[in-house]
Amino acid sequence: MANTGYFLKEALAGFSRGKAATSSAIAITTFTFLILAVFLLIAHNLRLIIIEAKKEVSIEAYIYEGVANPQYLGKKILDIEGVAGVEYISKEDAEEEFRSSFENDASLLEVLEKNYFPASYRIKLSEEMHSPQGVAEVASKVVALKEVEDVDYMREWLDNLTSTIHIIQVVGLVVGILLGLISIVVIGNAIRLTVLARSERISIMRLVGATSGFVRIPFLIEGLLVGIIGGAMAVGLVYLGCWLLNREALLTISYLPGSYNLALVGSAGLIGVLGAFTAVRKHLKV
Amino acid sequence: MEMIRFENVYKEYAHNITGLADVSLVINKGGFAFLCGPSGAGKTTIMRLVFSAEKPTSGRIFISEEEITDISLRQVPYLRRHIGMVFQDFRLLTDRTIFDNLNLILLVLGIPSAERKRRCLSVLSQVGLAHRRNAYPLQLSGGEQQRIAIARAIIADPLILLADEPTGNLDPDTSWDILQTLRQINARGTTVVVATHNYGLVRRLHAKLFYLRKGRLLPKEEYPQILYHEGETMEEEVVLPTLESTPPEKSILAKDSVPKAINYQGGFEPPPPPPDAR
Repeated sequence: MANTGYFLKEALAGFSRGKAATSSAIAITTFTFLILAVFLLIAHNLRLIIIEAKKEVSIEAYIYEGVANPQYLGKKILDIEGVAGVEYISKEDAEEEFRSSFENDASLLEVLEKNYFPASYRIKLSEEMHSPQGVAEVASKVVALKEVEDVDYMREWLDNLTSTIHIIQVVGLVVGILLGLISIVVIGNAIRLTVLARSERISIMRLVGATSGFVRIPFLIEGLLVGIIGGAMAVGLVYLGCWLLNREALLTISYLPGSYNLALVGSAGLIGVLGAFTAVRKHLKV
Repeated sequence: MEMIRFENVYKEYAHNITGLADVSLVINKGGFAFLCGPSGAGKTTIMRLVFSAEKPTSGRIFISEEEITDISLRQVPYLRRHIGMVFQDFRLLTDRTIFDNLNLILLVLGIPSAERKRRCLSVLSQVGLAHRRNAYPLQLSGGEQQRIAIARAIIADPLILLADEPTGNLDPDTSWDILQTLRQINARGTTVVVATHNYGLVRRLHAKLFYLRKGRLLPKEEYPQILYHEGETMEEEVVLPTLESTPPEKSILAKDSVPKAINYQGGFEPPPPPPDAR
């Protein structure tokens, strides 16, 4: 395109000429995307915490006294679909575990004259079985084995975790969509101001026979730049914030993954282009 | 050949305000016409209809014998490339140099860089302002700014030059110079239409005359005497011999109907002194 140079030059000129309007548009983009990015960061970290928590999901299968061959039982459990691993805990191990977790509570340990603890298998589940339904399904199969007296799998904790995830997802979606819409309106208006400052220029160009595309392209490039710069600044600020919090050891926060950052900067650019497009369209009708 | 033709054109605005009522007129190629009349009579409306900034409520409009009454918004830019426009308030981009103001027009037309430069300098020397090419519009006098606006209007070698009150902001001597420049552009074949209140200029330059009142074109017998010197009556349109009289080969609405290179026949002569002191 012979005009590419002109379009770029014109977009950059608009950038430096309309300093006040352009920098406020960038600031507004930065601010709205900062909110969006912080929100995404919180959601992302919650998700990581949940993934970690789910790894802890296990089923405790208590074995009847006097089962002769626990290794054979272990194999049978391993054969159940959704079981990722088993760990045998003998009566002695169970007592030891109990003692070590209550070692500061002498009175409780005194009562423990005899080893009342049954031997058990601690069953780790494969990832697709981390849902409450999956855990219950495996547990029911385990309890059906004749050597198994009972199972325990923190049903309430799992249910709570699941409903928490659900709430976070719904709230996240609603807040995310709202923030996205607000940023489109706010950034669109900011860019509208930069275009308004040059409405005379647009009308003169129209009078001399410039096509709407020719008039529009520099503004679209400018909108793209405003969006990308604003989005990148927001991402940078969030990164800086994470880094500071981690360094001061106030919180351990995982950074937003690169794909999120790219998506943020990209959508900021897109909103900039859309804002410029609608803002210019109004002035092109001459 | 007819350059501008209005057939029973009506233009009505919201709240029943009449812009034009039953206006029919013809301006021939190479013609020079004045549109006169009080403010709000419809002079500007006629011009806006010619460059399709507005559409008539009813009636038909032809430019260069092509109907433009209902052209689409997409075709409008291509029509305008054949029409140069000059306004009372010059409408130059004040944050661009004179050269950039002119260059922009040629960029719009997709003319290559070297040719752009040549044409800018050529047209600037024709209006006698080549030495001010790096100045900004507000550093020039009103008359100079209007010359730049005229240079911009003719740089693409338009078929029609529309000038809406081109002398409205200028002193009488400068006004006469500007009118002479328009006359010279006309002499090269461009059809020129000037809307003006300045009846002194109208009296001094015998040209085709249209007088509007409240959106209606008055019959010639009713034209006010102020438009004529004492004892004179309406002159018929003066058509000067033209240097370029080739009609466009393509539709004026075609995307590439504007010539990419023009061979100007040198600059203008300095405007002659006013024929009388009135």
